[in-house]
Amino acid sequence: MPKPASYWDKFTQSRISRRRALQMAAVGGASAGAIWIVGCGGDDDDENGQATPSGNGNGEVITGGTFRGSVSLVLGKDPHKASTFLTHALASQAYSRLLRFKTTTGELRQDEWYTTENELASQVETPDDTTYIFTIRPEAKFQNLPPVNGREVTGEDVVYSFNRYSEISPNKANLSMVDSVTADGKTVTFKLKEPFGLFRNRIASFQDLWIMPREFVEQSETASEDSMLGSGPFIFERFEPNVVMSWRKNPDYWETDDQGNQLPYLDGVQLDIITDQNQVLSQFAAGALDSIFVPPQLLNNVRSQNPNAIIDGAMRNVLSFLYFEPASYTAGKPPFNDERVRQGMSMIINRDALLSRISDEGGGWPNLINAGFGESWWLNPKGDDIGDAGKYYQYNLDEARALFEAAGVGDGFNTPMHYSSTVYTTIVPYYDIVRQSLPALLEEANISVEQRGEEYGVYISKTFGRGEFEGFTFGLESVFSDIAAYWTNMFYPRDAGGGRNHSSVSDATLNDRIAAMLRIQDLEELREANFDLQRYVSEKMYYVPVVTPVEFSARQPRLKNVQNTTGPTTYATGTEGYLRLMKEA
Amino acid sequence: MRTYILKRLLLAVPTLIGVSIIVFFMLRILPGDIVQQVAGENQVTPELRAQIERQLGLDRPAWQEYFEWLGNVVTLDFGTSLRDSSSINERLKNTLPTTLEMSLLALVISLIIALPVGIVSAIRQDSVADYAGRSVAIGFLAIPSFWLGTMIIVYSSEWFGWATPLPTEYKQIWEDPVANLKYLIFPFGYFIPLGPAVLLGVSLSGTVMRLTRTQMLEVLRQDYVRTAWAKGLRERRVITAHALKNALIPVVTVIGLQLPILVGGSVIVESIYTVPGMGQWLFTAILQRDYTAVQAIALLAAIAVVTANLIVDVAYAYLDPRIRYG
Repeated sequence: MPKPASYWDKFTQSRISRRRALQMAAVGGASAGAIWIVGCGGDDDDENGQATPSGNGNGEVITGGTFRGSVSLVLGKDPHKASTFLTHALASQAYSRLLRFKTTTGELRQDEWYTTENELASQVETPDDTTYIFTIRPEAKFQNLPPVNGREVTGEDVVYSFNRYSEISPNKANLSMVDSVTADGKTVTFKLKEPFGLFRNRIASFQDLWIMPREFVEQSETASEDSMLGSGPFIFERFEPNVVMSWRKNPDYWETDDQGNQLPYLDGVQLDIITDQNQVLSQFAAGALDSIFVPPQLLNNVRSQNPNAIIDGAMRNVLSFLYFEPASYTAGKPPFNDERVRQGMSMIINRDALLSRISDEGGGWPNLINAGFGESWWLNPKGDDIGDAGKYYQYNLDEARALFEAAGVGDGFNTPMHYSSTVYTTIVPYYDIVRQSLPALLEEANISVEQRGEEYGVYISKTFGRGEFEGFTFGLESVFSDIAAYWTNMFYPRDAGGGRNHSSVSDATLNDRIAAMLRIQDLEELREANFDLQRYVSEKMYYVPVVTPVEFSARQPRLKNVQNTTGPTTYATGTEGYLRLMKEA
Repeated sequence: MRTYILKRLLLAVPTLIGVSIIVFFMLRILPGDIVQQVAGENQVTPELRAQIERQLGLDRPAWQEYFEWLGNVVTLDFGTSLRDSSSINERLKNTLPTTLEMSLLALVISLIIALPVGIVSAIRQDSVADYAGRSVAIGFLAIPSFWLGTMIIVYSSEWFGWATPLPTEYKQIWEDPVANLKYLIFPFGYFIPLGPAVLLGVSLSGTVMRLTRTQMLEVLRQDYVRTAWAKGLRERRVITAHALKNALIPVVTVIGLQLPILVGGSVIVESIYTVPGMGQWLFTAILQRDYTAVQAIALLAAIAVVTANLIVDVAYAYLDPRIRYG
């Protein structure tokens, strides 16, 4: 057993260099919540006794305790109304979906990433390509609170929730393939307008169809924002803005583990609302928080200050990428209308150098699909399978210059580079490191960049949302829980589901191929079609993907039975993360 | 005096209305409006915009919204937050006393530091004490409070494993005065005054310290002070009864003008120390374009500034008998 570090040991190990102090000051802003109990790749799990199916490794279940984490922001409680993943991720404390994503104690195999399993549904039948019949578990019931008082979940609840979602959700396009939803007692039937091979993923998505009881929602105009009441494992307890959000165990939760033990094991979940990243780190060091998100540049500091903490690393599904002024595609405006220029831009980016600037732990190279999806869905640009297009991801200054020469801009050019100067810089700590590095990388090919930082609100509405910008933008694409969402959002016309088509890319061939892929039912065939698309867009470079660094979380050793210590990070937290989590006293 | 105060209060009304109009309409013309913030990264189609505006009650002309809001404010109803639907009145009940208390504590702390050092520095001009005092004052002026706060949080954690209490442990002063003062002044322990109120107070004290010294030096050279010395009065008597009161008149003005600085400072300091006050709320409300919240906080801040200036003016009359209002 390692000897606990004494005060003086810690003192001598943790002297802060000037550089680190500056880094700490630099991250001292708002941070994203560290709700990272699912989907973190552990790098020293074994030594700390994790990755065992049961709490203490002896098959014993540890019950009780309250998980203490932090979030920087809570933006509402109604998952149908919300557009932000901050609300969606928290929804599964109190609400359920028909399906959820598969988790396991310890590491989840890559081929199981983004596979679904039943949550409220006990079975799913697909009599034909456009019909999905879900049977709801007989034991599934809502929390025992008025006005639902623990009644059973029925198909009507699903119909009500779908209709409400379709009416008010900013994400409703995600289920626009559904033609009708009908219920008959405990069964509910979804009829699709056309086949959609990833429909199960879409139903399991944490951003979409949460089942909410009508009596609760319609209790008052603000009921669903004042509180949360569903069939989830935790009962909403308290929300104080800028202070805390907490839930207590639902004693009547309907799900049990394989040994028949009542879930969840925890007595509650408490998320303290902390906007300052340094506060988060100091609270973790003092033992007040069980798990936190760690900015990569402070990883070594956190390690030395918390020698017993378990550090997990994973690649998130946040896509960092360059996108070009829409006129490049809609009006043929040079220079980015020429695919050789876009390919050259990609080849100037030294992705490995960027990753090593972010942290010593490296990361992956995204193509349009992120490395965080795992090799079942993501084609590694470094691998052979990507074919000839792989060369456009390799750093090759000479080839890039040749491409620019061929495109008539061999002497370089000047261009504005837009970016978000707030929010991104703190919730995605590597964003600013990459942003600062890009101008120097581009300068190597005589591309002179005029940096145009924009406050997040301005950036998100004008540049990201409406595409009103010149030159190019360094941006982030938010998380989706299936690859189809990236394809349709980023390439379809804006009025046909292309809500994230920032550059107004218009490629009818590509769109036909995406539509054809979405109709494929066989997952293996669908994967292949998805890989083909990745090869195609890698050639076209409509967007230039940048890097997917390994990002980190730290947790106290007292947390046990942590799920998916490697793997996806974009699942809902309550059901997939906290349901089987244990905490030692 | 009473008439003067009444006049000033009446004059404050158009000032406050002006502030409310500016804040209300500036927020609405700010790029990155609330609708886009609510829609998140989704594309805002006209249909989605109309839907969100309807949900938020923003589907009427702005002037109508303004008058409705103003009407409600007159009845002390500040409405609900556009981002989380919480009652603004309820949040004000919790956050306003916190920020006011922290600001007052900061003011008191700044005076406790600044006045003695400023006076000693003046009456012992060009001594070691004077040089030390001036250096400290310049140091306090030069070091930004957000940096100092960050360093306090980081190093106290690194060296000693200390952390400040979490917001759930915050108690209002009337609920638990000891816990309250511990949070705001002694978050790391009773003999370590490195709390948010101290940080704010220290950063304010530099200005007051410099001004006190300058004013004292000027007053100490006046004839009436020389006369007091000639009469053989003791130093303490000369300083406290003759010099200090006159030297403090401009200092009081500056102290009154510190209030907006305190409001601004609380935004950052509250975020660093996780104080659940109005400053932190304002910070997130601006980022999220939470119009109703920003309007309420800005109006209250304006009221506080107007009131502080009135108090300063009234204090003049006390400090300088030559000043008469009427």
